[in-house]
Amino acid sequence: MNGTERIGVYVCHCGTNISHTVDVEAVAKYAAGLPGVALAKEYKYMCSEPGQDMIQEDIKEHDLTRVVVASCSPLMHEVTVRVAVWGAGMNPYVFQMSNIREQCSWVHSDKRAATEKAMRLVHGAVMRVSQHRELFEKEVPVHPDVMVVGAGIAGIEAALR
Amino acid sequence: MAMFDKTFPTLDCAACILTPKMVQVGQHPNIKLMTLSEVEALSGYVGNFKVQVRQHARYITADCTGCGECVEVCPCEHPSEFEQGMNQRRAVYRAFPQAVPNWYSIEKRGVPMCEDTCPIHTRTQGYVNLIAHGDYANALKVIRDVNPFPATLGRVCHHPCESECQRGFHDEPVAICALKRFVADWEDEQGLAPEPFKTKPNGKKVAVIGSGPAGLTAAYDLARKGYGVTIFEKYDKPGGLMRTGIPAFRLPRDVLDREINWILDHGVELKLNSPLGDVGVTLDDLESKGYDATILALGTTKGKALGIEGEELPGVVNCLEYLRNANLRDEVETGKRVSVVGGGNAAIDSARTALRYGAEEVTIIYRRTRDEMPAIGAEIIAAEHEGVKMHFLVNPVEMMDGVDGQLTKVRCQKMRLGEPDESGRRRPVPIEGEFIEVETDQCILAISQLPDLDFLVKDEDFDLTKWATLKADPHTCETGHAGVFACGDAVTGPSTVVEAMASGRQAATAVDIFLTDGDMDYMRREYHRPTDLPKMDNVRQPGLPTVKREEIPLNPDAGITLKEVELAFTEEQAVAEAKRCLVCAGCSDCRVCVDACDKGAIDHLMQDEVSEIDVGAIIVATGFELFDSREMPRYGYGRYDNVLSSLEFERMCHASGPTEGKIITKDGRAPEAVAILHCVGSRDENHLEHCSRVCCMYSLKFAHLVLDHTGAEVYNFYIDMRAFGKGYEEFYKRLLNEGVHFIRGKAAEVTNVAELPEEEGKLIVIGEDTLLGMNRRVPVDMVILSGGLKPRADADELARRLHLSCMQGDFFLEKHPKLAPVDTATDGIFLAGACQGAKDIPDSVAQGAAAAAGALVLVDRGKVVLEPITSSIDDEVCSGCKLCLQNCPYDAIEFDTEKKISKIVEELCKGCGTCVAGCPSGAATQQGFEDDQIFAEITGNLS
Repeated sequence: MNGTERIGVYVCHCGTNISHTVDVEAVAKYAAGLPGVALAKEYKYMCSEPGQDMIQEDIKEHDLTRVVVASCSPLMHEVTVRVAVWGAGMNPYVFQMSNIREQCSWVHSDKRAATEKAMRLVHGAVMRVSQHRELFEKEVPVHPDVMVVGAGIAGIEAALR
Repeated sequence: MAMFDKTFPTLDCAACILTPKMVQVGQHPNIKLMTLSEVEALSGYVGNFKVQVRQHARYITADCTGCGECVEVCPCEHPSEFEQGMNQRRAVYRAFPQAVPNWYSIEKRGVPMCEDTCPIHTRTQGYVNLIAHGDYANALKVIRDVNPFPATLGRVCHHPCESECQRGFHDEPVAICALKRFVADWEDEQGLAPEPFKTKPNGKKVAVIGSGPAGLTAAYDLARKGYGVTIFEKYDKPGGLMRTGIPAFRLPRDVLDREINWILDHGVELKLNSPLGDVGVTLDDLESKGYDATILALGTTKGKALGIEGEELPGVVNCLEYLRNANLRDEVETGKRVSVVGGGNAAIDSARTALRYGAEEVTIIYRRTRDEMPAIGAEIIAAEHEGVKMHFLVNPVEMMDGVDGQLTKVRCQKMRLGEPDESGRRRPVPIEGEFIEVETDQCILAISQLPDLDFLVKDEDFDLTKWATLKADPHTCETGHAGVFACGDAVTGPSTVVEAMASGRQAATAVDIFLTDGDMDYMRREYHRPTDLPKMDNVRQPGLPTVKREEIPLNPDAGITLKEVELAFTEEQAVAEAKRCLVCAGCSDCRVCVDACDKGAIDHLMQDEVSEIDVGAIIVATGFELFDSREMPRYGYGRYDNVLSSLEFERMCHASGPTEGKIITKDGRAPEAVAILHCVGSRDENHLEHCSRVCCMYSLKFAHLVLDHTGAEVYNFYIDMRAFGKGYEEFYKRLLNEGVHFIRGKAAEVTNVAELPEEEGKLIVIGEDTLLGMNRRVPVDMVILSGGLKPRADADELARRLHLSCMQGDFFLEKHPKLAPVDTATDGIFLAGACQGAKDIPDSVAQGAAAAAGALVLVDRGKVVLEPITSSIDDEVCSGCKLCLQNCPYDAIEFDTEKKISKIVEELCKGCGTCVAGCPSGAATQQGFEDDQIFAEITGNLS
């Protein structure tokens, strides 16, 4: 870490999916004290439009250089947040998602321990994202032909369409 | 779907719905239809796939008009897959009348072992099956394509084909050799003389030295190709060992003469009494007379000596000389007590000949046992019948003379069998100090034969091998003398008629190449290359009924004379015997269909075509397989005639099916009661755990069809009724009102063991009616098993080829069970229909449309964004060990041969990290998963 990063951390309640087991305020507070973290917030639904808007505004207003979202599995919403940060002019690959739902709140019942685990997961994500480099997607052309393997009714239907 | 009769719940005709769609596919200008094709491999990435597709040879070209003339003449019958084996189709067939494209194809499963083992690769199943159909003339045509000696080989061939005949692994091999003789003799009896093949002279001349089977076959082949062939024969009659070695009681002279004359009818000139050498023709003479090439087919004319004491005694003769005198001159000095040394055909022929020329007692002396005798089994038996004695495990060590210097005894060492030698036969080992003496006044040596080449090796162009045979290139048959080729026993050592023919054919092919394009390397590359088709060497048909092999009739008048001992099969015998052929190759390769097709659309030599096709997206719609009810023996499928699978019942209902739409029992009766068993294989932890979703409804459809067609009582045994689709519950209600008996409970068993008088002659379905809380025994005439849907047997293999996910033996896995039901984990590959899970027709069609939409989105966008989470390799650090090339599951790494380092092809890299984990020098890293990043995360996690 070069010490110049300004990281924004967002902890999601996911309704009560996360906040029921994880003290999201405590996690946000903990994150705020981590080196390089410029701001840390918690919010009910980070995937919602207001949640996304909040990230975009913060990036602009607070000049954030990195973003960490602690919420659900990246399979669910990594792309959602990537698009959001990209909309605010940030490279989508200097954002890191921390899974505190499937890998934390959903699988634990001890709120104190789960909260501590969430803090560590977020700490890891913060340290990791500091090391991220900007990455760039590549566009390639698509061949216009389609192959259908199988000629039963499903294959026939697909081919005719 | 084309196999279904009606669809549920609307009861409209499946074919009526499907065929217009099939026709549309066939006619659509933008759809290229590749049938009989399979995906072999996939490379590339979303938007840019390369698919390797193998289009299996159909052996019929696009000129096929679907007229079906070929089917009329095809002699090979097999169970029809489309009709669920309920009736037969031919080897040339189309799956069903509405098939698109409406072409026929020929099913070739492989090369049958009879053809593969035959030294001249006779299309054995071709002529055998034509005989089975009474088409003897065409059978002979098949034989004569490669063999000018059907009558001769039909009598004397050692028939290796029969040893490999797959029927032999069930009961006894087909009597292939005797069938060949049957057709050859049939032609003669009919007074038909075969026409020679038409040839077009090419103006080139070839000399063949020797008129044995090798020389005659070479001459036959070359004459058919248009060469002017002259055969030079040392003796006054042609035929080589076929005449001088094989006695008339096995091969009548008129038979041999007839077949040699037919070869000569092809314009082959025969010069008798013309040995090669100083007294006859010389190679220089031939060259000066304008022969473009010469084939030496000199045969073996010298007997091998034993190299023991007393061998020079009067009374010791060699079998070649002995048989030659008998066979050419009908006059041979024969002792009273004759002994014959050896165990091959020459020994047996000598022994049997001696009996015919005055010997009172004949004894064969053989150093191994009867099992190791190389002679044809039937000949050994015949010799025993005629009274030839056999001394086994004895080896002559001395020929002993009496007072007058004449041979009186053969002293033999006793032997025992030791370890197998190179030929696989157990090597005889002497038993020290144990001898016997065989009293004899003539001893015929039949141990081995050698060519007589002394005159030839004076020429420095010719060499002998260490076995004293003539040296020639094993591929091209070339000798050291340009333009002179050699074949037959002189090169190979003693062999059989058919083996010598094969050698002659090889020489003829070589000469033809030598005199045309000169690409002698072709012989090395291609001549002995096995075909691409697999060998049919493991054909097992459990449950095949045993049918006894026909016995070759013997001539009751022959006695021990020169009259032929064996007779030909009668026509009834021949047809019965030919019908024993399993036609394991699918198509027998008789090729009568070629003549029947006036479009010339049949090509028996067609090859598979492998092509690489570029596509942007792939839709996998490979369907399902019906659960095989044999896995549940308690339902009696495969044991009881009237227990049907659901597809069999579909075909039975179909107007163009095997019963033309009549619902009848195997013996043709309309059933009075029918049971339909739901959930066969499905919802069963021992078989398929899943609910197959369609079986309840198609079982209701069956119940309706049975009621509609027959009025029989119908009993549906079900676990619970799953009527989830649109109109399904209504369909169920309709059936309830139609009077079907619904018994809630999975049927336990189907039996034919009657316990009550009304159960006699019926199938009894036993099950618990869980609504009534009692066991039921329901006697019925027919049971239909509503089998579940399971993934295709080759689904795992296809998943591997397409990099799809599927659990072992399960359906293909979609990307997300709810949100991405037609996507797969590989971008650009979509799933549709029952390959993704059991489903009904509306769902399959919906998925087909959805998958098409997915593919079209990609194509329409015209470009695709690739994630940058890929590997990269540091040029400076890479040691060029290539380990990553082996590790990469996506072939996404190339090797730069100049810099000697590996290089990631970013487009292909899926970011799996396998190369990173495996890289011994740490040159490979993965963007987004670099060591610093991972260590930082772990440090944070642990802080």
